[in-house]
Amino acid sequence: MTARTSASSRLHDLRSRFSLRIFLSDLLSKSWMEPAIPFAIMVALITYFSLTVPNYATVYNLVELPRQFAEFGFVAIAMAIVIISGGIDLSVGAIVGIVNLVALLLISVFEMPVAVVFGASVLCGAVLGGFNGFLIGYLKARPFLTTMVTLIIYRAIVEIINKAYAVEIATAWVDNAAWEFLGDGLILGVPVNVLILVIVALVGHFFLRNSRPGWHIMSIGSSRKAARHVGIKVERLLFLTYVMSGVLCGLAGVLYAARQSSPGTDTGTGWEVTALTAVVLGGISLAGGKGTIGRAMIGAVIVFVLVNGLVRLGAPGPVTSVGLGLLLLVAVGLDVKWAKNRAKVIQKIYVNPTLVEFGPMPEIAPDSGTPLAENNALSSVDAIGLDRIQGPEDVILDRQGRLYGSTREGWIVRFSGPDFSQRDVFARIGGRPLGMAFDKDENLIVCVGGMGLYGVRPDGEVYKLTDQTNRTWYKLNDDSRLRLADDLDIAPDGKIYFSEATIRYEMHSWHVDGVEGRGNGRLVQHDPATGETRTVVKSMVFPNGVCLAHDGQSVLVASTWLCKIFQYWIAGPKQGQMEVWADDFPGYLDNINRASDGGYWVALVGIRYPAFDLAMRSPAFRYRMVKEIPVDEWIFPGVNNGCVIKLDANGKPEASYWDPGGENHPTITSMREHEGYLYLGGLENNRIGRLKLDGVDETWTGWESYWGDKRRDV
Amino acid sequence: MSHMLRTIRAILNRNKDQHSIPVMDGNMSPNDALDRCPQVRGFDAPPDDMAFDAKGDLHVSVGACVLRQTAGSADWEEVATLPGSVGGLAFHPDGRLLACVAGEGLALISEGATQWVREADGHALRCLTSVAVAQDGTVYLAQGSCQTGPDDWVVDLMQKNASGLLVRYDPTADKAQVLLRKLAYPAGVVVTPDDQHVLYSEAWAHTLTLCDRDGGARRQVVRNFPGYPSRLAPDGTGGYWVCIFGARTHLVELVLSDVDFRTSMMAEIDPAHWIAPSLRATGSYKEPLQGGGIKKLGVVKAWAPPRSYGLVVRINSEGDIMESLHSRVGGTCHGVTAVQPHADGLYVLSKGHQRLVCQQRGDADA
Repeated sequence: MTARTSASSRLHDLRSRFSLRIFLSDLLSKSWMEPAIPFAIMVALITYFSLTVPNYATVYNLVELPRQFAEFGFVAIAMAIVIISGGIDLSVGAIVGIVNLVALLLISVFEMPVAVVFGASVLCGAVLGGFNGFLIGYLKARPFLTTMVTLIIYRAIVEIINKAYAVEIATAWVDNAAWEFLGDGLILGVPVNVLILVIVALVGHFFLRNSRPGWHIMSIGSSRKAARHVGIKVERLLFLTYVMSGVLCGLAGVLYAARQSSPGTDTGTGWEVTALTAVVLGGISLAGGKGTIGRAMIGAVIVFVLVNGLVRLGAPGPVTSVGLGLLLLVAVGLDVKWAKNRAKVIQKIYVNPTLVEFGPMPEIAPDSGTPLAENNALSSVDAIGLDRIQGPEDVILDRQGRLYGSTREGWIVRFSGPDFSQRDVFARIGGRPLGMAFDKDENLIVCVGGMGLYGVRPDGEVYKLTDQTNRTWYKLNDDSRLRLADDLDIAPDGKIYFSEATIRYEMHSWHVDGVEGRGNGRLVQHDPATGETRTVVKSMVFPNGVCLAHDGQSVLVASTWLCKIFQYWIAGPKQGQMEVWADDFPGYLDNINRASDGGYWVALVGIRYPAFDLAMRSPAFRYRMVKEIPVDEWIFPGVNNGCVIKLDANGKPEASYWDPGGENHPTITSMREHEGYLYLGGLENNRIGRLKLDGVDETWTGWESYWGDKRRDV
Repeated sequence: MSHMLRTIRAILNRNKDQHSIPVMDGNMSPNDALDRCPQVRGFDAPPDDMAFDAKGDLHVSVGACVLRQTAGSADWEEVATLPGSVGGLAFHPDGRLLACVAGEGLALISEGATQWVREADGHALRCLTSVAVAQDGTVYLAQGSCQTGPDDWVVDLMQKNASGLLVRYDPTADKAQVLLRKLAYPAGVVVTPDDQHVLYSEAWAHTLTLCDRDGGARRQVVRNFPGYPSRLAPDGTGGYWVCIFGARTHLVELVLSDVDFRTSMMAEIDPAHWIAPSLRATGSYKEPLQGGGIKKLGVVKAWAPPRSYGLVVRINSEGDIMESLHSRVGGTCHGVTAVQPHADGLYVLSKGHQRLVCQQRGDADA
């Protein structure tokens, strides 16, 4: 029985750590997942034809097929660049046709040297493409209509040249070794045209992905207006994309001429449609702005292998065309649906509630007589800065007794003067400043949600300590950036320990992590001396408050949704180990701070209640909830009530301070003891509270207990 | 499994009435009309229903008592004490006070004598919610449920029972007869002004239904309220005032559709802290909190998902909503169980906040 229970609890543990849905949502959000399907199709097709077509996987075929493919490859790249820039080029096939004839004419009739023919052909392609580009880029003509018109014109030119010179070309005898090498030669066993294609494709790929003009072209495709607004020269770049398209078609034309020496008018006919199919199959969005040359090549290979394979299997031409058309239809349909719904799919499976089981709720009834019994000790708290501060998540006092609060505007607000009536904005950091601590040099170190770990010098100057930690090797998503640094404390050796509450949610949706209840957080150590940051504990459930124990040997970390405090040893025999220090709290824990008597204060941001406890035990119910109803209707942890609990040096509750109904202090997230008073902060509150404490050391301050003469670790 | 079935059903039958919560807009737009009404009196215990007798004296049922305020005076006196908590009230043309008593039945109270109607066709009338009288003296009774008492309505809702009855009682023959069965908690019944039909509400079905005096020819007048309708009162112009004692929320609807969670909740948690509507949110930390209800900078938004809500709706004879009076989240007039138009204005009884308020009405439709 016990064995079964422990096995099933281990299963629960595993299920709470790993989730197929999370893996899937992480996977889908990777950009390299987009061409995964086309790539799989390509591999499958090649495998299929290797198995069914006789003599397919032979060395001869391995050389010959790519040789036939190369020219089409250039055209696919041309089409891809234009489509990524948000346009379309239907004249690609016609340009190939013209250049093919021009090249043949130059080599056979005018008998020019190969280098000149090659250069002139590419230039011819550039001019023809440039004509498109001029019309589209500078005269702002519609790409589809424009290139359709030039398609017709260019085709007519092919006819004219063909009529005038076909006989001459056909009868001329070309005796030029270089020209033949261009058509049939091999370099290191690779056909020349394939080699050129590979080089062009690689250069094109990195040009688009990693160069400034490439990025500009991508951004024009995403949003022409936005691109113009950021100062990208849209006209010139559009012109250049069509020139590039023309150059690539020119390359295709001259290589085709060298390989086939055929003056026929049907060269390049229908290539625009095939190239379009290839590009879309590769996953390049017709809407522009998305895609790479690599994907275009995958698509081109699919189309080529399919057509070639079908022909060799003996399928009649029209059947092949119909097959290709259907493929295009399916690809376009998938492209539209996928682009539209991918984000939705990710969103739908993003929140993944897991099982969280609590122990029995401790007794907190007002008449129960326990240290946790509900009272109204906080109903008579003084309000500091009422309606002059918005959501001080943490509060802290400096050596001069000035009071600091980290607010939702991204500021550190300071109150000073005898009655704290003087309000200054001490620093404007941005993000969502949360936990704070003073270091030895009286710099204010702040955890900033959405930014990382920052410091503020006594003169108000803000500086960055770190915004990343080491990446977890087995996670798909790069988790090195700090998403929600929450609270920190500083060890005697100056190392900063801070919690990152969750790596899956932003500050504005921190409660959603509570609905999920997964171990998404971590404890991170930063050493300002070396600048090194590393994660020391992974997969904690919303680690929140961090407090260095009085003896400086361990760090106390509060796990909000588990209602537990953990102890992480940073020195002594247990160094590097973590254990539960205090358990069975009646609510969700936030910050922990030192008390003057060697004990600790802990803030409860919310109180557990039966319906939410049950919901935490019912992940299936919460999963339905997050999928079916809006966030405002979700059941949430009870953060409208809160309290402060005083713990002794061993983590045993000694006293509690309540505010029934959360009249003054709902969502209590922090408290600091300072010279006989307790100061209260709240994440959603409009004030800082101040409570007089009886029978405490009225000379004790936080800073002195860390760096001054109130230290207990020396 | 049930989730899959639901998905399949949703795909196969896209046009099916989802019975989702209608948006409160148009004449149902939220306001704070109920909160602005002056208070007539507060009560120490939750009041339930009220009725005016022939002389115009107001009678209110509170706990096990019926209180009376004589017309024109400010004093209240106790006129009857009964063996259970008193719900629906009405006056018979012969002057007797009819009172629904939880766990007992209908009491017909005259000076010095009380007659009881305790069962109809073998059904014990332990959960009478509302009573109405036709001009010929025939009495119509709504029994909310045959499984729970009127104070355990939350349990009845969460058990998804539909065991309510519509009962006709003939005082001259002393004979009670069940007209309709299997109703989803009928909480209000009224005889139409033309004396030809009976209109009743079904709280858990969120509907109003009109039927003939013998229970035949049923026709839904309102198909889908955004809340749980209860008692009804003619508005004097052919339409009706409808009390809506709680607003539906997406979370409660979700719980109702989730068998496993609902069963565990009913087994483990005190009904006061269920995910369920309530007549009055106490603000206790044990009550469920929804995302929109989080206190921001010391304020809970009035449009937060309501645990309790105050709503009175006026409909015309076709069931179109003409007017609505609200008390939103944070308001002081929640859980309205009775409404009576009167020459002074519209009397509204908030069971949740234990208050009787009166809305002065400038126009003549009261």
